[in-house]
Parts: sequence; structure tokens; C-alpha cells
Amino acid sequence: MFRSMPSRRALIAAVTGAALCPGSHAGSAAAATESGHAALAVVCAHLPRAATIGRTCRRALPPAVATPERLAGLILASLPAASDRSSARALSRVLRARSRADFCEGRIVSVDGWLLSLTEVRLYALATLLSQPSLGAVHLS
Amino acid sequence: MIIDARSIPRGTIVETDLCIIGAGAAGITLAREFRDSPFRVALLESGGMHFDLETQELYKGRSVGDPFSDLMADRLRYFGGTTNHWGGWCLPLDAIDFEARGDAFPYHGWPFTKAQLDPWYARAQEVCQLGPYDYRPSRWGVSRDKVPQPFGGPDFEAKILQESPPTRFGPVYAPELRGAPRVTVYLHANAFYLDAGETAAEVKTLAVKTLSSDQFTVRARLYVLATGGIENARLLLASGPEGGKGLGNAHDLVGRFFMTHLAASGGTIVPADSYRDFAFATNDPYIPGKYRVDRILGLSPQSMRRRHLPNMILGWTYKFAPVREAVDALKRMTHGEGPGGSRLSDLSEVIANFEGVTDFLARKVLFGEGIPIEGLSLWYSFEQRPNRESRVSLGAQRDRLGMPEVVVDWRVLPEDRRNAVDTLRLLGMEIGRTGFGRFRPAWADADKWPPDLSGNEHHMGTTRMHRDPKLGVVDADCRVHDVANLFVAGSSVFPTGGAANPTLTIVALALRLADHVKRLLA
Ligand SMILES: Cc1cc2nc3c(=O)[nH]c(=O)nc-3n(C[C@H](O)[C@H](O)[C@H](O)COP(=O)(O)OP(=O)(O)OC[C@H]3O[C@@H](n4cnc5c(N)ncnc54)[C@H](O)[C@@H]3O)c2cc1C
Repeated sequence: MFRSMPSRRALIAAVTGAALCPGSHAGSAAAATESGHAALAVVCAHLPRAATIGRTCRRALPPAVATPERLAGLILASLPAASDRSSARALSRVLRARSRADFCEGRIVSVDGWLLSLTEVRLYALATLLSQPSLGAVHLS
Repeated sequence: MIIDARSIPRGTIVETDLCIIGAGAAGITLAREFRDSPFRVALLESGGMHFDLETQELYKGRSVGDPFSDLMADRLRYFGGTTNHWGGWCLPLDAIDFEARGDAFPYHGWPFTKAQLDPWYARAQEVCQLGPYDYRPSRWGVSRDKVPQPFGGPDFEAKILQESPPTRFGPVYAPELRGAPRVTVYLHANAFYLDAGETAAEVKTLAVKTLSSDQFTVRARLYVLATGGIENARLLLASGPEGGKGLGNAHDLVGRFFMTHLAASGGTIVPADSYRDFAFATNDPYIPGKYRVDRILGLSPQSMRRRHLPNMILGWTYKFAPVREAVDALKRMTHGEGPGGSRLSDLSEVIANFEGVTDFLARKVLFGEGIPIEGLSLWYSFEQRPNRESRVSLGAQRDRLGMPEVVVDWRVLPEDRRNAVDTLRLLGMEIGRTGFGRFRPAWADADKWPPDLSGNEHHMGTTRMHRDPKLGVVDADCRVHDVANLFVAGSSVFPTGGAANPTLTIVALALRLADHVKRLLA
């Protein structure tokens, strides 16, 4: 999976940068909800290379938590209660801060040897689940 | 004067004031200090002026512990010793390496501080043909704002090492020793047995053998062993009263506490921003004036203390994007720059990577950016804890001269492995926390042995220094406890080895010992 350098680099760049800041094209598309589920779905939809990274991330998590509902719940519950989840852009900022806090506090998951934050691993796993046609249209609400 | 010991008649007794055994970094440094002195010095060297296999084979040994590098290749047995192929990387030990570090690091610390060794470190710089004794990164153009955030503290910090040319001690210092009136270098002279009589209170004579089976004796007022980190212990263990445990070994310490640095590849960092200005992190050594300096990383002393971690240093090489080849080819075509390549192959390289090259040119013009970096491949060097069970001893086999073979039982403690893995994980956390990128450590499971880790060529600790004879073979003056006229030079006296390459410290200690010996002889 993360074997050859070019794809590895691209994948990591995806995780470290673009993944958590979908940018203007995503921000405007977000339908704000109080809980942030809608914004989270948009963030996931815009994660670059989510399919490839996400599959590996999903395998790194315990099977019991690898359902869209559980993952979304875990991700959102881990964020500060008062954080802004009104849009994908706002949520991305919060997620990025959370991801850094994960590194600070040792919430790290080894994915194919790479040290990734728990939040980003969950996020990618969620993204891949949401995009799986076999699951039909999965809605987070 | 330099003479061939094979020409000395069998049974000769060479009388001298000081006998130095081994002409490597330590022995040559010591001998040079006597080039203008009134004392007679005999410097005995096993080999000749050049490599020869017969002599080198006297270095054969066996490894029975954790994976250890080749004992025949790690050391060189001829005039100049292992400096005939050392890399020349120099940096002093850190102040913390000299300190006792409490229960978390048993046996840690030296009988003096780094500040006390500083005057000799400063002199060692010149011997190793280095720049000024100043290892502050700021002195060498590494300002704080150039250091990428995860390496600006609190856990990791920028460091520098200086590169020796590298000084080949043999050829560089042979002319001086040849011209020194009271120094005699004996080539092809193998120290074989230190005779300290029944009481072992002082060395009376040294038996010396050549490969042509001649034997003679050296009688000196003082003796210094400078045969390298493993052989110093071998010679002591093989000497002393018949049937005994060896010379200076009343407390069963000779050969024990054998350490190296744990050095291997550390993993890969992929930076989030591959166009980032890596001015701090260049592959090319920085050369302010005529000195070569490399930038490296280390753990900060605060972090070592707070997290109870051993010392370590980290370096890296770049993995540039493949476009680099094409850009180099383009430079050669347009400016005739750089080595390698033919016109045709350069042209095809550029055509094959046309998109990458145009992207590079656009970015260069618009943003002044360089070649994108795909990753940084790390190497590490960790301090190994002093471990009584890690040892050098004598085996049943004998070499051509009849000297017992050396058996190396190098052992790494579980704590060392855990510390190494924890430190690499800490690095991954810092790289993630600061948004610098992501890290894939090469060693992530302390229970598994990394494929490319083996005991390296920094052989330390086998005649460790301690004020207390129950904890050290030599005292703070490098004199073997209880043997009045026998001293040891080299990294075998290091009680703790930090993470720094050892030779600068070996040379500093040899200079310090020379000053001490001069006072004793006077
Ligand atoms: C590949 C390599 C790269 C290295 N790179 C670095 C580096 O970049 N930086 C660094 O700090 N260190 C480096 N080192 C380590 C460095 O070479 C040693 O620390 C240094 O040479 C040790 O000096 P020494 O005088 O104690 O021993 P040596 O240089 O090994 O000299 C010992 C001498 O004693 C002689 N001898 C041995 N037995 C006898 C005997 N019985 N009788 C008479 N003479 C004897 C030997 O022939 C030899 O000449 C490197 C080592 C290797 C192998």
C-alpha cells in the first residue's frame, strides 16, 4: 500500500494538509447542523485519496468501531463541546487542531508503520466507509 | 625515529621512560606530546606503515551476543590504527553524559565534568584538523529561525558536528614522530604480555613479539595501553600473574560494561510541504571558511532529564523527487554544470520528465522554490547503557602469536530498546504535532530487533573509569587501579558513551593523560 515513494508522499501530503482543510469548494457546500454530522460528511467527501488511505486506516481500527455511525460519533464526541461545526471549513479547522492535540497527547495509531493521529485515522476510515457503494447511500444524521 | 622491530635481536631489552602500546588516534596523540620532551618514549605498533592481512588477522575474534559488526573490518591494525579508515565526524560528548543520572541510569557518569575536560577538547580540535572548539549551531550559521519547528525544542534540538578531513593519524603525523629525537616508533611490534610480578602492583616488563617469531622486552617507568576499545581489555586479561584473572582485574571488571552506540536507519519523514525551505537541513556540508560542518539533531538535555531518555543524535539524507535528475540534466545542458551525463542521455532525461521540469521552472521563477523533497531518510545513534553483562572476554583459541582470541558478548538491555523506540515515537509525535509531516519509524517494536542494527565500531567501556576500584578499572587519571605505573588511553575508559562519535574525546583524553604523565616523569 504505502510502498513506493511517490504515492507515499502524496498520501501523506493528503493526510497532513488537504485532508483537514477541504477549502472553498467544500466549505460552501456544507449544510450546517448543530451536531456537525452534515459537515463531517462533506469533509469526508472531499478527503483526497480517501479510498486508498481509508481502507488501510479502517483495518488499523478495532472492527467494533468501524461502522459509519460509531466513527462519526467518536470523532464528533472527541471535539470540544463548544467547537464550531457549522460548516465543513469550520469543522476542518477543529479537526486539524484535534489531530495535533492527538499527537501531543499520544493518541497515535500506527498505520502501515506510519504514525498517524487517532482523529485522522478515524476520519479516513469513515470516508472510505461512506464512499462504499456496497453500503448504499449512508447518511450521517 | 621509526624502526622495524623485526630487526631487533631476540632477547633485547629496550629501556625507556614511557612505553605507549598501539599507534592509533590515542597512541599517536600521546607520543606527539613528547616530541620535544627530554623523556625517552617507545611507541609500539603491531602493524607496519601499510595494511597487511597477516597482521590484520590478529584482530580475528568471535561474537556470541547480540548481532555485532565484523571485528576484522571494524578496526585496522597498522600505523595510524582505525583512523586509516575512520569517517572523521567529530563532536564532544554533552555535559549530561558526564553526569550521574540516578536510578534510571545506573553506572552513569564520569569522575569529572565536561567543563573540566574542555581545555583538552579545545586542543583535540587541532589534532583532528578541525575548526574552533565551538559547537553552538549559531556559530555555524544555524540560526533559530532556520530550524524547522519540531527541531527547535522543547524535545529535539539542532546540533552540529565538525568533519575532520578525515585526519589519517599515520601518514599525517609520521614525519613529526620520525623527526622527534627521543621518540622511537617500533613497527611490527606486538605487545604480548604485561609482567607485573606476583604482587601485580606495578608492571615490570612488557613482552613483545613479531610475526617472524622474534621476541624482545621493553622495560619502562610508565606504560600506556592504547590498543583500542577491545584490545585494551584483551591485553589486560591476558596479562598479570599466571593463572590469575588478568591484570587490574581484582574486581572482575576488565572487559565488562562493553558498549557501542546503537546506530541504524531510523525511518522516513515525509514533510507536509515538500517545497519548504530546508536551509537547515542540507545534504551538503556547510563550509564557513575552510571548515566542514554538518547539521544534525539531538534530544535536548531537558527532554532527556524529564523523560528519562538516553542521549541520541539523528541525521538524514534527502529523497528528492525524481524530477531532480531531469533538472540536473537540464543544468548540465544549459550551463555545463555538475558531473556526469552525456548530451544525449541528458536530453532524453529532460524529455522524459518534461512536465516535472516545466513545473520546476515555473515554481523557481515564480516562488524561488527548489527541488521538491519526497522524504527524509533518518539515521540514529543512541547511547547504550552501561551493562555489566555486556562483555569482552578471552576464548580458548589462540592467534598466531599465541594470544588468546577475543570473544565479544555484546548485549543490549531491554531498557535500551524501549528507550530507542520511545524516542522515535516521540519524534513522530513532534513531527505530527507541529504539522511538519508524518513519520514512519524504522523501529517501532522494542521486542523486535531492527534488521540493520548491530554493535558498531565505537568500542567503549571495557576498562571503565571510576574513582572506586569496585566500579572502575582505571581512576580519574586513567591509571589502572592498584597498578602504579600502568595507564589506559582510548574509548575503553569511557564509563558512559553518550551519542557522540568517540574519537575527539579519545584525543582529548590522550592529551590530558600526556600532561599527567609528564608531571609523573619529571
Ligand atoms: C569505518 C569506521 C568509521 C569511523 N568513523 C568515525 C567517525 O566518523 N568519528 C569518530 O569519532 N570515530 C569514528 N570511528 C572510530 C575511530 O576510528 C576510533 O574511535 C579510533 O580510531 C580509536 O582510536 P584508538 O587509538 O583508541 O584505536 P585504533 O585507532 O584502533 O588504534 C589502535 C592501534 O593499536 C595497535 N595495536 C593493537 N593491538 C596491539 C598490540 N597488541 N600491540 C601493539 N599494537 C597494537 C593497532 O594496530 C592500532 O594501530 C570509525 C571507525 C570505523 C571502523
